[in-house]
Amino acid sequence: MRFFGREKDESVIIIGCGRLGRSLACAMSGQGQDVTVIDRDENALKRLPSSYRVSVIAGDGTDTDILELAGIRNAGSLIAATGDEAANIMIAQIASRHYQIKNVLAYIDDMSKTVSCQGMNIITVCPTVLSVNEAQRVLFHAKEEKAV
Amino acid sequence: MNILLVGGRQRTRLLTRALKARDYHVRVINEDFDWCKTLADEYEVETVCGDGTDPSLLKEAAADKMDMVAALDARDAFNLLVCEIAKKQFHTKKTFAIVNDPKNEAFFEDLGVDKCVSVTRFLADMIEQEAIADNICKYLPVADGRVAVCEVPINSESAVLNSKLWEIALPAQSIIGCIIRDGQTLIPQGNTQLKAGDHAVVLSSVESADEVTAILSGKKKK
Repeated sequence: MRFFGREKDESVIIIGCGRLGRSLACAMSGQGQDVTVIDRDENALKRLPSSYRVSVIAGDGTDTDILELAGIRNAGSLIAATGDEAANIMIAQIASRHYQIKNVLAYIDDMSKTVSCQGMNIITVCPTVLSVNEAQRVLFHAKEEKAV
Repeated sequence: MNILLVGGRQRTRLLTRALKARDYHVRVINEDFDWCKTLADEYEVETVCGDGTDPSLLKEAAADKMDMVAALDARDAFNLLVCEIAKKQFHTKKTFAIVNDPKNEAFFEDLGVDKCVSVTRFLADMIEQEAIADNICKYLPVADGRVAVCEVPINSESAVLNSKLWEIALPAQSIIGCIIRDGQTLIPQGNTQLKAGDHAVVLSSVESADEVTAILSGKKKK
C-alpha cells in the first residue's frame, strides 16, 4: 500500500511501546501499514527493530498536542496499548470522541472498567479474557466460552 | 452530604479537613495504605485502600450512595476514569475532577464529568490578575471573559484627577459605571469629577481594559 504514497485514513497510531505495542507496530508495519508509535519513554522507542519503517514520537499519549503531532487528524486506526488502563481508556475516548477515528482499540485488563466506554465507538480488548479463551481452546478443544 | 474523595495526597488531606470542618460526611479511597491510615487517624474518616478506578472498590465505598465523587489525583486519566465509572455505573449525582492539563477541561466535561477544576488555569488566571494588579487595578472577567470589570484607584498623581467624566477620552467600548469614594458608592454622571482616593469601577470589553486602566491610572506629566 505504500506504493501509492501516504493515503488518508490508512495510517495507524499505536500508543505504548512495551512488548505489546512493539509487537503490534512490527506486525502492522510488516504488512505495509503506515505506523506511528508514541511512548513517553525514549528508550522504549529505541527498542523497536530498525528494520521496520515505523515513525516514533516521544511524549505523553494522552496529550492532544502529541496525538496531533502523530497525525491523528488523518489516522484511520488507533490502538491504545500502554501499561496504564486509565490512560488507554482516556486516549481511546479522545480518539473516538474528539477526532472521530473509525477504528479505536483499547487494551483494558479489568473488563469491569469497560463500562466507561459504553456507547462509544471503541473496541475494548482484555488480554486476560483472550488468554483464558485460548487456554480453553487449546486444552479442551472446547467451544470458546465467554469468560467473566 | 456524602462525599467520596478518590486518589491524591495533600489535596485530599486538606480537602478532608475543610469538608469535615463543614460537617460533611467524607469517605476516602487511596492506593497508599499508610496514607489511608494517616487520614483515618487524623480526621476520623472512613477509608478504603485500593485503586479508585476499580468498580468493585467503588462499590465497597458505596459510590452509589454518594452525593459527590471527587477525583483529586495528579493523573488526569485516572481522574477521568473514576468520574466516568461513578457516573455510568453508580449514577453518582455529581462528579468532580481535578484537571492538570487545562486542555482536558472541556473534554472531560463533554464526557460527563460535572465539574472540572484546572489548577494550572487557576494559577494562570491569578497571575494574569496579579500582572494587571501591577497597574494597581483589580480585574474581573465576566460574561465568559468577554467583559472586564476593573477597579482603578485614582491618586493625586493621576492625569485625570479633577477631570469631569465627559472630559476623559475613554475607548468606545468602556464606561465608568461606579465610583467608590470614602467607602460610599456613587453612580457618576457626566459632570462628576474624579478626586484623589476615588476608585473608579470600569466596565469595558476585555480588549480595551488595558487602555482604560492606562488612561485612568496614568501619571500626570510634570
